[in-house]
Amino acid sequence: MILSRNFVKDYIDLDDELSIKQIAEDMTRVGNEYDEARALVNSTNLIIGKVLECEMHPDSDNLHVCKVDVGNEVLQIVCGAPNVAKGEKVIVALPGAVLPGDFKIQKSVKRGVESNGMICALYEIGIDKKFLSEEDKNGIHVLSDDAPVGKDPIEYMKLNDEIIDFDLTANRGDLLSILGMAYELGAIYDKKVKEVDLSHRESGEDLNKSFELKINTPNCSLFLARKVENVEIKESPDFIKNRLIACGVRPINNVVDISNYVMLELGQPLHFYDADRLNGCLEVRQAQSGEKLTTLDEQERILDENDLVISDGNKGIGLAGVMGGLSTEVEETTKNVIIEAAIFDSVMVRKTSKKILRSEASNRFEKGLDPNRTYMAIERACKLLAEYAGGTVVTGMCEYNQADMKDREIEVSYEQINALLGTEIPKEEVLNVYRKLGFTAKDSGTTADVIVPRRRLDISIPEDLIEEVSRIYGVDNIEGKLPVVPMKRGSRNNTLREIRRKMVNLGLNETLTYVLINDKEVHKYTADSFEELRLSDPMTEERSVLRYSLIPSLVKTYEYNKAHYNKDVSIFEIGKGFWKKGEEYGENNKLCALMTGNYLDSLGKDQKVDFYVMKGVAEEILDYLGYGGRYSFVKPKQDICEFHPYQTAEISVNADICGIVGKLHPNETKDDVYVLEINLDKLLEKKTGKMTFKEISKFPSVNKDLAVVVDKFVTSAELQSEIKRAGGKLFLGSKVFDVYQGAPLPPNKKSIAVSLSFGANDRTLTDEEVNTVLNQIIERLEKGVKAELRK
Amino acid sequence: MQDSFYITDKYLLRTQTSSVQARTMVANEEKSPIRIITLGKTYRREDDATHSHQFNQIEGLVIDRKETKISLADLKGTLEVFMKKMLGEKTELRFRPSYFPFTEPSYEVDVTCFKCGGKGCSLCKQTGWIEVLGSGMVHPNVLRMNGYDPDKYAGFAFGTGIDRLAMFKYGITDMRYLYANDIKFLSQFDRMDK
Ligand SMILES: [Zn+2]
Repeated sequence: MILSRNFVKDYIDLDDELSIKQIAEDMTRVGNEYDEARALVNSTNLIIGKVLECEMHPDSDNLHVCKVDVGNEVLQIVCGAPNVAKGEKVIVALPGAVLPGDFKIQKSVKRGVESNGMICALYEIGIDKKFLSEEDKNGIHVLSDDAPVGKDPIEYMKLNDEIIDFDLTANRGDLLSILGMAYELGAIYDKKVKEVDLSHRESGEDLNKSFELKINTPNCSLFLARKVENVEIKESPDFIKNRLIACGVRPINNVVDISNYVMLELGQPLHFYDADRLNGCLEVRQAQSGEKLTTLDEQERILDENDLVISDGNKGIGLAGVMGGLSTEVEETTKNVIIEAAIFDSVMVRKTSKKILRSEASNRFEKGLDPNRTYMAIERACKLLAEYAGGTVVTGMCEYNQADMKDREIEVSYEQINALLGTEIPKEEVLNVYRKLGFTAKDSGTTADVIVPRRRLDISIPEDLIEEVSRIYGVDNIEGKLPVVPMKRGSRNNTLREIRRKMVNLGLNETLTYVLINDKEVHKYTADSFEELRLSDPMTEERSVLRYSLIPSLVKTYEYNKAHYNKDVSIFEIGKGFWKKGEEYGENNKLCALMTGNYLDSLGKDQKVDFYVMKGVAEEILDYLGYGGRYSFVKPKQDICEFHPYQTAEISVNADICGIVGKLHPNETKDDVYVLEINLDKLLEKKTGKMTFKEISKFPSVNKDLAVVVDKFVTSAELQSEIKRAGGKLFLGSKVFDVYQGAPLPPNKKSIAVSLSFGANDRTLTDEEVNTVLNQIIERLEKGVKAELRK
Repeated sequence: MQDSFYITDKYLLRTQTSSVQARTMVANEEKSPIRIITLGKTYRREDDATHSHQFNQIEGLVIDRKETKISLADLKGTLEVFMKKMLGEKTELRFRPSYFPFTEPSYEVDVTCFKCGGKGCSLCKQTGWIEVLGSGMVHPNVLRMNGYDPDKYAGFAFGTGIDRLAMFKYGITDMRYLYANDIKFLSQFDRMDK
């Protein structure tokens, strides 16, 4: 809704000192946001001039060189408009003028001829082309002969208005009218709203004798019709045209303009029919399924039972509240007019308008209307048609009224107000707010009994009245304080946060990627069987299913980084994976990591990422969470084709698979990319060992290195678990420090080098003791995994 | 709603975290006071420089017995602390009455434009203010629907988009940076934020 300052001044006295920006800000503070506040014509330094001479430019076919009298001097101006001519009164932008779009006018030389300003078209000074006549769209504006040279053209054209374009909240339908705006401004500035002039004469036989209403639907609560005869269709007076333009509505002719003017002024949409094209009757009914109707825009519409139709008793002639029909439209030749002012069901209008066209009118019906305004609007239209279209108003009004006309009475206690707002506003101040709003409020000791005018459809419960106090009294006047309430630590699981910190401390960057992925990726990187969750209406193929694994997202992130010249990528994410099995829907928290290139560890040491680095990250997390000694890395039961066949292990915790760590298969990427994913929900329900102290040996441990050649499909993890089994009490642990494949080894072999440590709490081990255990281990490896000792 | 992603007629991706509020109220069988902060991913059918189809929201809800006089003043105080901690002690707040179906009264909350400090610039459309939060006193109907007697209980609620807040706080120019996860972007935030 656009507010015109000149328009609203009909109903409220606004201080001239108050800038339009200030009014907009004051309205914002009571809850009415705006997009812009400005002069209607946003140009400076304009003056009325008279073209004394107009010659063709010596070096151009379309430029003219004009001598223009602007009162105190005569300026030479070069003008390119085709319609500039000697003797015309024109709008001149003087050097120094600024036109919309920050267009600065300066003295210039155009093809060798000096030009001191610009002769303007209306669209150049800021009137949108959609409001202009054909001549004005294509050339400069020519003022009437009586325009005073040297004076302000904006004032002369009565375009000296200011506007605020409001972005209103859905509940304030009452503000979709100049009168409603006046009430709101009245509450802010404590000014009384003036009466609307509805006075007009009427004559002739009562309309009810010649005209009939048939309301055959429950979806029309109020329908009024009046007739105005012998209207003369012509251009509207300036004030009507200018106010329509200010409010963003294109002027057409006086009769059509009056219908729009009253809607803007009072908020009630009206429809005017050519009375001679009706059969003395207007009917409101539901459309029949498949019924056809040609609307004003010359389009044939096919309707159904949910559309509300106006008919002339025989056939449909309009879509109630949405758009009139072509057959009964007011035209140049129209003499007699039937005015319709009605209230239609807001939901029904919304549905039909959504299908056909959303308009200023349908928007108002959708928000709800005050039936008192319906009565005002029809009288106001009669008055304006009599005054500005020379019409004669016919006596009497056809009336159908099932509407609730009553104002609401709501009781609110002062205590309730101050409790909800956290204030100590005295009752006088409360009553004062209601008075300013134009409500009637009676003090009943502990409560205010408020009669809320019907126009404020948004107010129905005491809390609404409390909101009015906070709005008009001012939220800024309410001091903030902190609630004094007992607080307890939230139930949110802290473990995920701990894992996140640990991962960051290990030197990985946390990412946040999209949950929605391409359906081609959803079953990748896993052997699990599940049904994916698919959107029924995806925006794109790329975002069409919910991810099960986070690996596809991190692989995408790696690819993005690679394309952006980031070779070293170490990232992780904690997020949910989603699935469906039969009728069961589920989701799991997952930890996913991806590493490639060089890994800058937490101490800033660069290291090339390999399988053992990625596995090491998994071990760090598992140890940190207390699963030390309870997990192992095992060969996947089944090949997952996106993973490398030999550099992949499943993570088994308490003998249950909880995750996977491995290298991406060379078919997936040529780079060495390693990933890890753990199902945290599954992992965290597993038992952990107690954190207890173990005696620390005072004696040194002994380290022995061992290198063996095994079949290439034997994993280091398998080797290590064999070692552990054979190691006995004196064995403390093992660490793989080299894995090698290639010449001189046969192609199906690889060599693994392990560092073993041995020790006891009560003594330093002798060489003999250590060698005995070492031999046991070697023997076991030879039998168990057919290892050959490498010399 | 048009801007939701549906999976079936029954399941959709939430467009806001408010669902957690209702669920918490319903799940709290004793109907005792509630003080929660919730945050999580939300989804809407839009994707451009300032909107991502996936984003994050944070919401707060306080429900208490009326004797504790939980009020708009408490909401104001709480959000002042929240925003000053997030955006700096100099941040000022402006409460603008607004309309949301689940609160009454409702407020949109503006903070001093972080770019111009309130003087007015292109980012704040010369107003000096940037809208960041939606808030209000819990609507009596919401209390009633979730089993709380509006004569005995009152409360406040607020919510904001974390992504937008992060963009304000750090001056991030395009929402899509947040989800591209460029290492050069991520490593800029690898530090403590005082
Ligand atoms: Zn700014």
